[in-house]
Amino acid sequence: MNDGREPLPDLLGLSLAELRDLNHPVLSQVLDELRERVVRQGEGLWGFTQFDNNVDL
Amino acid sequence: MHATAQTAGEGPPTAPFQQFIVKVNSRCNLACRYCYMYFAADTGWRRQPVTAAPGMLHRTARRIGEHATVHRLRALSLVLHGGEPLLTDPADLGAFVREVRRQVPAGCTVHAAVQTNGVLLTEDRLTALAAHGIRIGLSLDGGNAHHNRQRVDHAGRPAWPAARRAARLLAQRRHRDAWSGVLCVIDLDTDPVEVYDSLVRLGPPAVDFLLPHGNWTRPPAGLPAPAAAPAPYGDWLCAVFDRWWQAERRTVRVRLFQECIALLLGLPAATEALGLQPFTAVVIETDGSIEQVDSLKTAYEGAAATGLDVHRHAFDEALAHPGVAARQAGRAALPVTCLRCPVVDVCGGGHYAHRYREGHGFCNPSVYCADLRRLIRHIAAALREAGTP
Repeated sequence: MNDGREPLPDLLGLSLAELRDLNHPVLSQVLDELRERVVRQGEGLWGFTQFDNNVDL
Repeated sequence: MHATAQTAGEGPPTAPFQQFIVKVNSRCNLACRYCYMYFAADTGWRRQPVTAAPGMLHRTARRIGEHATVHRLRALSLVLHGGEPLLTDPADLGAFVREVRRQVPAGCTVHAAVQTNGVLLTEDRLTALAAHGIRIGLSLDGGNAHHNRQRVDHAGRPAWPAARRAARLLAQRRHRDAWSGVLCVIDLDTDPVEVYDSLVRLGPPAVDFLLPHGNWTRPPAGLPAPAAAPAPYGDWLCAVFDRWWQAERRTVRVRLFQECIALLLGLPAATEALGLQPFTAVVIETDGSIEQVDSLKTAYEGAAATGLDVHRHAFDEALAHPGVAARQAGRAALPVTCLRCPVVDVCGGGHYAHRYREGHGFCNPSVYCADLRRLIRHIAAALREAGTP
């Protein structure tokens, strides 16, 4: 099954810093939250189906 | 049954519990046709008290405080669950949450939430919950009546009218801070874009799409998939992703997609559905039994049991249970098939309960393997394209 063996697209060149000036509204908002997650060092991440209570809505 | 997570001489897992799911009720006012609690392999709920006794809740609060102190937790999640948690008076729910906050050390934030079907949510109950700092997660399978046709009460009547009222209540400006989001179980008979659009119109701050629980021995609806369409759930989710991704602005947070993006970028993630991160949730049943999450009950009778309870045991003893350890073992709990897969660091084998096969335990790929690969590759391609100047 070719799909199973093919590697993922190369995303190693993508980093939060390099993705800062994107013209992609959805991804930009997602990345803002992920940057905050890095600052918090992953605190408040819950695995059980629940929403991240630390995110300001 | 569980993958061996440790070899001789290794100590217990080091990730403490950080999420405590407390069954305040063992019964539900609904009888959703796909419910993994009441219509799956485990019938243990029948032997549970209907309601958690005050003494049990007090003991649970003390045990949580003990665990938070020992492990110096700076935050923990307290999920009031069931059954249907709103069968309990919100004042009692609030008192329990207050007790937990008293028991944890100073500086430890308790994030409290209920996960409810919404049928019993009224203005008064919502106001009471919010006053206690309890947020509300709503279970809905879409924003239209026909999306929720499987969500019925014990007489077969649709829960949708009451659930829609709950959503409208939560969407009001004065209540928005109390609404954490919507959990939506995927139904292949629904149109994914229609489901997504209808949920967005209800105005939740976040949505998570859940694969219905099943495994290789008791496959979910639509699996095994035909060769012509080998990843029906993956296709369904990709259609939603494209709708979400191509919007002019992010209209709602979709947890599954955002966690997948985090994992693709090598960042911390939090979902039971993807990733290799240790799973740090524990369940306290209405009788005080300490168990693993209910989804394991779709595998076999007693799959979630640990033999421990809050009356006699600290949570640290549950950390040493082989089932708990297996869920913190990451790659060590995966079969060779998964370890050789290019997407293993993102997929993580998917949801643990979806890997079960009778006679082979949980050391298998996910029954949703093709679907997860489909979705992960699709999101990776989208991310690559967006990040390319």
